[in-house]
Amino acid sequence: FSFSASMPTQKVSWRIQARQVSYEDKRKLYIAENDVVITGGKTRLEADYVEFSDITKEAFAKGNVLFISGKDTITCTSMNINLNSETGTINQGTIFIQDNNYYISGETLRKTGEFTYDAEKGSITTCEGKTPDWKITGKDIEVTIDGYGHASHAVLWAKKMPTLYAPYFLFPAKTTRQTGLLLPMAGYSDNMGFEYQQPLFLALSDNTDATLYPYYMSDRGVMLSGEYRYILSPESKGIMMMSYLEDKTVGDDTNENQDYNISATPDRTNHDRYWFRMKHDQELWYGFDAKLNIDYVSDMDYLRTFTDGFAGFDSTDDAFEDMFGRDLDAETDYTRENSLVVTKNWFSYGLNIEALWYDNIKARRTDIDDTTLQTLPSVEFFAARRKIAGDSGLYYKMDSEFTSFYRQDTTDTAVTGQRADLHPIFYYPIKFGKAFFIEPYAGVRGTVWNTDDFTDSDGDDADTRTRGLYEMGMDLSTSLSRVFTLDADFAEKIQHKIVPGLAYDYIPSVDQEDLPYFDAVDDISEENIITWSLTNTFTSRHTITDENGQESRTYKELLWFSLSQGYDIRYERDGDDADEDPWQDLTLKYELNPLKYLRSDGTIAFDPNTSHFTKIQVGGMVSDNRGDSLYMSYRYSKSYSHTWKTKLSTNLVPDTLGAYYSIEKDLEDRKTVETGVGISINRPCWGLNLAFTDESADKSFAFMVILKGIGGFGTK
Amino acid sequence: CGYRLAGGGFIHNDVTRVSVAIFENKSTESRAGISFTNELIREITAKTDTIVVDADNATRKISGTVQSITFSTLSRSSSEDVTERQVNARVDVVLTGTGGKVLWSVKNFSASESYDVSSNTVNDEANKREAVDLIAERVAERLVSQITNDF
Amino acid sequence: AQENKTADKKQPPADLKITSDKMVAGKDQSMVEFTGNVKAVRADSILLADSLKVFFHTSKTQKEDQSNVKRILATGNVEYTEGARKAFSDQANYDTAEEILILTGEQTQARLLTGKSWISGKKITLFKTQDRVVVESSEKTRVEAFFDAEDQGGSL
Repeated sequence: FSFSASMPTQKVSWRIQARQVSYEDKRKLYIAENDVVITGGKTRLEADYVEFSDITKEAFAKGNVLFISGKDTITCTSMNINLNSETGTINQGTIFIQDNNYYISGETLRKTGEFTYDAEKGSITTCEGKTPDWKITGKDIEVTIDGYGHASHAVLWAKKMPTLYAPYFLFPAKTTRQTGLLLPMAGYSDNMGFEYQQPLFLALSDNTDATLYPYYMSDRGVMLSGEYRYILSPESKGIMMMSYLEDKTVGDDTNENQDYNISATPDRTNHDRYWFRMKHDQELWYGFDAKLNIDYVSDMDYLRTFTDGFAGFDSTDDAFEDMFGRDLDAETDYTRENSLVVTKNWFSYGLNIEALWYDNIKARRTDIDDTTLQTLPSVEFFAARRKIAGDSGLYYKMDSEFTSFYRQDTTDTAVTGQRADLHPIFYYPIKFGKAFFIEPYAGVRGTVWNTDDFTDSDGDDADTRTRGLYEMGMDLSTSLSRVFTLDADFAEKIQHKIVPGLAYDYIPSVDQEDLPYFDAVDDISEENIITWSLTNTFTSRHTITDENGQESRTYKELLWFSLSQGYDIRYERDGDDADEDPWQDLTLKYELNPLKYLRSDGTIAFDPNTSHFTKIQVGGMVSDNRGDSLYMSYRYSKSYSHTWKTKLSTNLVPDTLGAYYSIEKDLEDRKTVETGVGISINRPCWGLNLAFTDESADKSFAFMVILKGIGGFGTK
Repeated sequence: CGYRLAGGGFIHNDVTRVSVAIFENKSTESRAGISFTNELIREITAKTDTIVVDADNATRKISGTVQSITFSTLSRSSSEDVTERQVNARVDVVLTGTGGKVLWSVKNFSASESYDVSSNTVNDEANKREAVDLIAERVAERLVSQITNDF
Repeated sequence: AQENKTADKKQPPADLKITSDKMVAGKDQSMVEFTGNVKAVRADSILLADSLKVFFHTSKTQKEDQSNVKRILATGNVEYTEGARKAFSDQANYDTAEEILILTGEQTQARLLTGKSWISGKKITLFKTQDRVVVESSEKTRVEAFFDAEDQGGSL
């Protein structure tokens, strides 16, 4: 009997094990019965009964069927599968996709390729067990080659109860690119009405993707947001996002619009609400690279209203921070930074060319004069601290800058103009013996302004003005240390290092009345201060010997604190009629981090003349290995703010039930800024976060269900 | 009393000469890279016997990246106006020997500093810059102390 | 040892030719035993074994068109080759009436090969008429079949 193979079979050898195997020549089939195991390549099929054709590699299996291929596992009552092409039909089965812990089950399922499946009237869940805590049933479910799953007419069930319907639903079955992909978000809130968001993910190519976020709000209308991400190379990438809503509401303090108004901002009358934001990193030639940041929003209320949701402020802020290491201005900032920065670093020189445009929304919206200072552009050139020549022992560093300032509207003091500034500083570090260090320094600074519409207080309207000033000073320090042997288990030695230091800084007083004012460079105040400081560091040493006797020492900074105080010689000279006292605040700064479970840092400043504290800013966190933690922060500064913040979070049942309580008080006006309380339930395949936040003006209740592996949905 | 004059000693206990490249900077604080570099060089010169030299006459090199500088709210007088914000910086630093072999490295070295929020954007930027410079000083001090620990 | 003796089987389908070192015939002519590298050839199948017993029908038991050989029992290093098929076992028993060949393994598993693919088990039964092969396992070891990738799907 000889046959020719009809199917294009890859070169895979198959092996069958069973209680009994028989071969029927008529049907050209091997019939294996009882504890049948067929293995080949990375596929394994187990069943009570299997009919296997060695020619076509087709197999029909029934009875406790288990099929494992790569990371996916299929269990079913019966199955027809071609072991080579791994395609076939599955009856009453469940497909387990290990990548993201998905179970797809259904009456009839089809395996359409090595990684692709589809199912009519199937269900998806990430929970184990016969009756999963939640599941999503869909009319036709499909897992595609790019790793995404699509389901139409999807219904979310909580145990036996249908809770949510979505005409079309997308889930990240196997892909790791789960960027911002979430279950449709539905909910209700008083300032949105009924909300429904459904993300549509478009994997355009392997390094670009786009997501559309249609967002229906019964009170306001439909907002369309689009996000386009692209990665050109590890150094060149970008995210571009645009949102647009024709808002039915206006935000003023009449009571029918009261829900839609933000009290701290002027009335919002515009209906067109939009926000374009973008960040882009671009690697240019010759070692130049560019960073672009764009943030253009239609009105002052927008970012405060649309903070949650997929394309909201918070998720955009997080996405930018993750991908670029730089985030957005806060949502309460009404002058928002847009900038293009081109930089080039040689080994010890740096060049920054920056165009900076602060979009003043308030001025734009209420068309008052916009005197916001814009920088179009500024060119900064730095020479990092380096030896001047040979071994003269003289070091220098230099900051230099040319800036062209611009303002849309000018006043007689807020003008436009250019400024060039050159500021080299020379250091002469000397070492005495082993531990004494003296470093005198001297610097000069030349600055030129060119303004054509500025007249100073004496009536002089010259275009160009110059200023030259110098600075000098000296740093002295030494360092003492002692090592205590401890032989505690967490450390066997602790070193206490003390660095006493003395610094003198002098800048002469220069008349700068005739200069235009753009920023702090245009008004450098006189300085004549001696500052003493005492810095202490406690470091522990812990030696670990690993299995092959290799000893490695780890050092850990347990506590760092520094005491410092300045003595202002200017006031000493003026004697009694000085309006200030020579002794400045005695300041203590500390950072304490001895154990994993204890962390604290703070600054305390004491004014010796009035013997009052001018600053007490102390904060810290105590936690335990069970995951409970208590965070406290008390911040008082005499002239500025006086607040208290504490947050207690406990892990009632470790990684299943957690709760937190937080309160933030403004002690100055004795009122509570925000209190928050929340519970989080964390189950293997789902989670629930309930949070109640009371911000005096508005109370909000957030309810978020997270279906592990798919995403979260809930209300604001 | 057991305290003796210490200080000096070479970084990574035998590096006599090192060159320090300007830190790459991924944040929008355009001066962060240069101020971290300057502070690190000042701290090495002050606290160790290692001499900082130019690129071409040192086999050991320190290079770093300011991975991120982000801002978070510290204290608010009401849910609308923020009075103090915190600057959080994350830095990676690596000491490499001949052929780029990594001798010592630290990743996600973080430090933070608070600053007073000003309604005037120019002053707010100045306060931010001052906080970043303070962070640069503090990071340089802790890095040099860690890299010279050999008790 | 006696010279080889060949017993022709005159049945129409194929002659059975057996050679061996020694042959012993039973007294009542109902069983002949061949011993010593026995080789039995019939049509395209060859059977090798250490010893082979051929059982003949007595006049009562023989039906008209049947060959006079009732049963063949081979024991010891049995090797059976038929076309592309090749089998090894400790014992082989062939019943001419039902045309069923049963190969059983005592110390080692009985094994049936085609090209590089093979199947092994405690007992292999080849049903000639229905073109069926059944392989059964013992308690300890299960039936194993191996299909080599290179084979073009030869059947057992």
